[in-house]
Amino acid sequence: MSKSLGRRDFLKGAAAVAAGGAAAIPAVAAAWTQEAAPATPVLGPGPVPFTLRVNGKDHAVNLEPRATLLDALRGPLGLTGPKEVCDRGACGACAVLLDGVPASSCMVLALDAEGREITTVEGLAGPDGKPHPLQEAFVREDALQCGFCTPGMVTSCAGLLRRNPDPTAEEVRDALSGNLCRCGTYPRIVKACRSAAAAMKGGR
Amino acid sequence: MKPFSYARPASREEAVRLLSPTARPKGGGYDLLDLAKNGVSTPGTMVSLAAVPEMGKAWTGDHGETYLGGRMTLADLATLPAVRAACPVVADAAAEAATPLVRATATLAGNLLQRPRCTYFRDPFFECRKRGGAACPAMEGDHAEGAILGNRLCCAVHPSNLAAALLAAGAELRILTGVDGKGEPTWRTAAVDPAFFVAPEEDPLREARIGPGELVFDAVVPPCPSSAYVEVNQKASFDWASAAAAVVLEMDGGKVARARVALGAAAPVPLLSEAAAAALAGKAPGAKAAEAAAEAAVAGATPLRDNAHRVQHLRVCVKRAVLLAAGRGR
Repeated sequence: MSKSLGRRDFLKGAAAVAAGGAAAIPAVAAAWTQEAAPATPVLGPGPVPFTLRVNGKDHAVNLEPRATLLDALRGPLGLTGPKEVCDRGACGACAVLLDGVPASSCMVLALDAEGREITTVEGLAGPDGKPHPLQEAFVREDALQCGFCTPGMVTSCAGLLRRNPDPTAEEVRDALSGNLCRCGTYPRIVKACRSAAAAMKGGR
Repeated sequence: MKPFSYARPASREEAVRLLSPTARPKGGGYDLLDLAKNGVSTPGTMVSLAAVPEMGKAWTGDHGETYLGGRMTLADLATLPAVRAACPVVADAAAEAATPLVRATATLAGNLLQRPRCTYFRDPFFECRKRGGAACPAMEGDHAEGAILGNRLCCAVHPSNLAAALLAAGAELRILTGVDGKGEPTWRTAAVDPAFFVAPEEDPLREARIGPGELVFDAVVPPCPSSAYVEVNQKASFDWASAAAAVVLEMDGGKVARARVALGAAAPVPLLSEAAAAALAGKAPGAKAAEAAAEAAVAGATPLRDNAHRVQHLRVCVKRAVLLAAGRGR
């Protein structure tokens, strides 16, 4: 979109020139093709229209460049699964999957997530609304107390199981080393992740 | 964060064209956003490198050297088998950084050029030499995580794992400096050596000799199979190093022909310890030589009131890194 915005702006300018005199059209068009692409547009600091692909659907947003992906998700998109806690990428409560890989959405600019496949905890359930095996396992293993870290924990576990469907307890702990749980539910979270892995291997 | 503009160029030429003292390159953005969120500094424009194609990859050159793209993620640096085999010191350093969530996004150049993590620097409430102030409140205040070497004016340690690793490896940066009249990029190279880094005595406002309009395109790392990076932390994960050592050994038979020992998290800049390297030269890299190197590395340390423990941490790191490097690449 960044490129198309720039071209649209340029074409508007070209149209204005054309209105002033037909002779200007070929000259402008030639210059445009010879210099390859126009310069990359600098967007903002005011709101910029762009599209975010979240949980399989495209969403049009209009946000300042300073908006983080977390701002976009929790604000205009109304997806409050990812939580804002430390706002510095230090706690994992805001974890989402970016192209299948867990990342802290508080430290990603929304504009940088354009064109990427974003999955929040809300998008993990099946198309029929059935909870993801990880969500079922967290309930089954009682892997939460206050629950505030849970969306980030589930999301990080989902990222792990995508690349490693049968992790050891050590591998789960390593994958979750950026997710903090102040209730100290870690042992049950590790158990739930491995339990979900087993359930998924069983054809779930 | 204060408002800023944003650009996402699709080529390296466009990227370097957009840079200026107020338009800063953005890789993962961990440091840029942290500084902006804390109100320390907000660039007028963030130039996202996400769409510059070549910068996210690693490839191997004709002489076994590894080219590491400037916006390669720490996760890729830590896990790509080719990087681990050719320069394990770099893979170790990337793997030790932060957490999986951070490593998925944070980049090589961003890690190398991040500003200090000192609490006083990151909080504009305090006066700080790194922000143009006349004093360093950490000297009298909380410096438990402060420097034990080169700490006369400022005791913020250099926070970059990769800086120590690239320094030990004798890496070279290929830096884009601009675009010429034909639209071709212009380049310079900069060895990652002690002269690349800027100590507070020379200029407290920066840590590296790189201009505002310049872009770290990639790092070229000579093959260094007998190498290792070791750090000591207080927490098992997501903790800035209490001390770190990056060691590269060139072996000749069972003995060390030449060594490079870089010390991280010890001083405001990463240090190359000639004394530690000399202690290893000509020796079999066993426990005795490793301990001698460790002792040489901390000679001259000037710990502050509350950080003497970091001297021992540094000794341990040097010893372990020598022993780990010695077992590799043979």
